[in-house]
Amino acid sequence: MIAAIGLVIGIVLGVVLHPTVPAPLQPYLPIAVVAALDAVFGGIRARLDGIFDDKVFVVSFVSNVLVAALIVYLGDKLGVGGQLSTGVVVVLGIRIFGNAAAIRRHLFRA
Amino acid sequence: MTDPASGTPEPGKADGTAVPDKPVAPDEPTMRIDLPTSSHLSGYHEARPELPRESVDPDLTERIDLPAAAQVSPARPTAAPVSPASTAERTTTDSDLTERIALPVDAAQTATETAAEPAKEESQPAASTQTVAPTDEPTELLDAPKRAGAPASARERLSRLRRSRAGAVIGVLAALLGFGIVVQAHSTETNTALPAARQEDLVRILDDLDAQQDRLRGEIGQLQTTRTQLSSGTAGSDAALAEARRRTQTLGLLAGTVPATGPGLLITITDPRGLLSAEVVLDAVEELRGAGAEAMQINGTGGQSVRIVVSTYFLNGQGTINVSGKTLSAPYQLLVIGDSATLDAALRIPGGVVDTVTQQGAKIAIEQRGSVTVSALRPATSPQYARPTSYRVGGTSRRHDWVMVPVRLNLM
Repeated sequence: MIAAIGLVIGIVLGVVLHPTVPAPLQPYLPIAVVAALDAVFGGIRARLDGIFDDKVFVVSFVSNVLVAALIVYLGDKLGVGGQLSTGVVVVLGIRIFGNAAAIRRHLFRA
Repeated sequence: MTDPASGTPEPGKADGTAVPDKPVAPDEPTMRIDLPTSSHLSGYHEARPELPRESVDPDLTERIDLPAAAQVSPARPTAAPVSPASTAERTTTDSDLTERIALPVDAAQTATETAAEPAKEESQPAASTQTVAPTDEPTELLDAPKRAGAPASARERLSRLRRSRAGAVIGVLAALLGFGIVVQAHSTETNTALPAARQEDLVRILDDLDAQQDRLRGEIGQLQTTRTQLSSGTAGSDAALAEARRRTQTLGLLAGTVPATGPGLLITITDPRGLLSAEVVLDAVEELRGAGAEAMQINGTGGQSVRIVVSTYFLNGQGTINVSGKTLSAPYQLLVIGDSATLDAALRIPGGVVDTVTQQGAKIAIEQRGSVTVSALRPATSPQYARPTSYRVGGTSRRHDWVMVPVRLNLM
C-alpha cells in the first residue's frame, strides 16, 4: 500500500516538476529503472508467497539499481556499453517475466 | 533453528549409527502420532500436504534441520527407548519438528525409490522460496510469536516500529521508481537522445550526417546548374521571341501582309487617253524601289487597290493595267512609304519616270506627305517547294538569316 502510494507520488512529482536528466546520468537512468522494476516485481512475488521482507526488498532494490548502473558504467569504460546495457536489459527482462509469471499464478491460479 | 528440547534425550533417528534402528517395529506407532501434530504446528508451510512418513519432503530436511539433527544426535544414546508420554509432552515446541524431520533423513535414504514422485513435486516450491527470499527465515521467526498468539507486546511494538520505518523506506523507493520512470519517459520523448548517445553512436551519426551533407551539396550544385540553364534559356527564348516578332513585322511589310504607315509620296497619274503602258508603271515602281521605297500600293478607280510586293506583275490591258490579276483603270494612285525627298528626286531624274509618263501623254502629280497609309494587303502564301536551309531561332545561323533579307531586297 505504502509502495503504491509512493509510486503514485513519484509519478505525480515527475509529471509536475518536469525535470531534465543530467547528462552524466542519462545512460544509467533507464537501466536503473528496469533494475528497480525487477526488484519491485520480485517484492510483489515475495509478498504473494508470504515471504516478503522489508529489509530484503530495500537491499535488493538498491543493490539491483547500483549493480545495473555499475555494469553499464563498466561497459562504457570498456567500450561495450551498448552491448552490456542490452544484456542487462535482457537479463532483467527475463527475471521480470519470471516473477510476473509467478505473480500471475498466485493471482489467477493459472 | 533453536531447539529447546535438544538437551533432552530423544529417539535417535538421524544418527548414522541409528540407521539400523529404522526397521525396528516398536518405533513406528510413535512416529505416526507425531507427524500430524508437527505439520499442524508449522503453519507457515500452509500448502504442504500431509504426506506419508516415507515421503516427507527431503528438501525441507536439507534446508533446515539436517545440521541440528546432526548436532544433536551424536550426543544421544542410540538405544534410548521412546515413551508415549514424552512425545505427548512436546506438542508446542520445536523439538518434534526436529524429530519429524530427523525421521526422513533415514527414511529418505530407504524410501527415495518408492516415494520419488511426491518428493519431486514438493521440491519445486521449496527451491523457489530459497531463491527469491534468502532471508525468509528471519521473517518467519519474527512472525512466529504472533501467529502462535504469544503476547510478546514489546517485541511486537518493536517490530511494528521497524515495519513502519521499512514501509517508509519502501515508499520512498517506490516514489523514486515512479519518478525515474516518468523522468526517463519524458526525456526519451522530448530528447532526440543525442546527449545520451554513446561515443560510437555519435560518430556513426556524424558520419551519416556528413554523407548526407555531401549528397545534398551535390544536389544543390545540380539544381543550381539547372536553374542557370533554365533562366538563361528563358532569357534566350524571350529575346528570340522579340526578334521573331520584329522579323515578322519586317517580313510582313515586305510581303505585304500587314498594313504600313509612314512618310512618303502620293503619286497620281492621270491618263485621259488611255495610252499609258504597264511598262511605265513598272518603271516607276522599280525606280521607287531603287530609291528606297519600303511599301507601295497602287489604286485604280472604284476603290481597286493592289499592294505592290516582290511578285507583283503588271500587264497591259485595254486602256487599263492588269496588276497581279486586278484590272485597274486610270487615274492611278501610287502610295509609297520611304524618304519622300529621295523618292521625289528619283522620279524627277531627267529621262526618268516623270519624263516618260509625260511623253506618253499622261500626267503625273507627285505630292510629298508626312503620313502615307498603305492599307492594301496581300494574302500570305507559303512556299510550296522552297525550304529554308538553316532556319534556327537563337542559333549561330541568326546572322545568316538576316543576310537573306537584304539579298532578297536587292533582287527586287
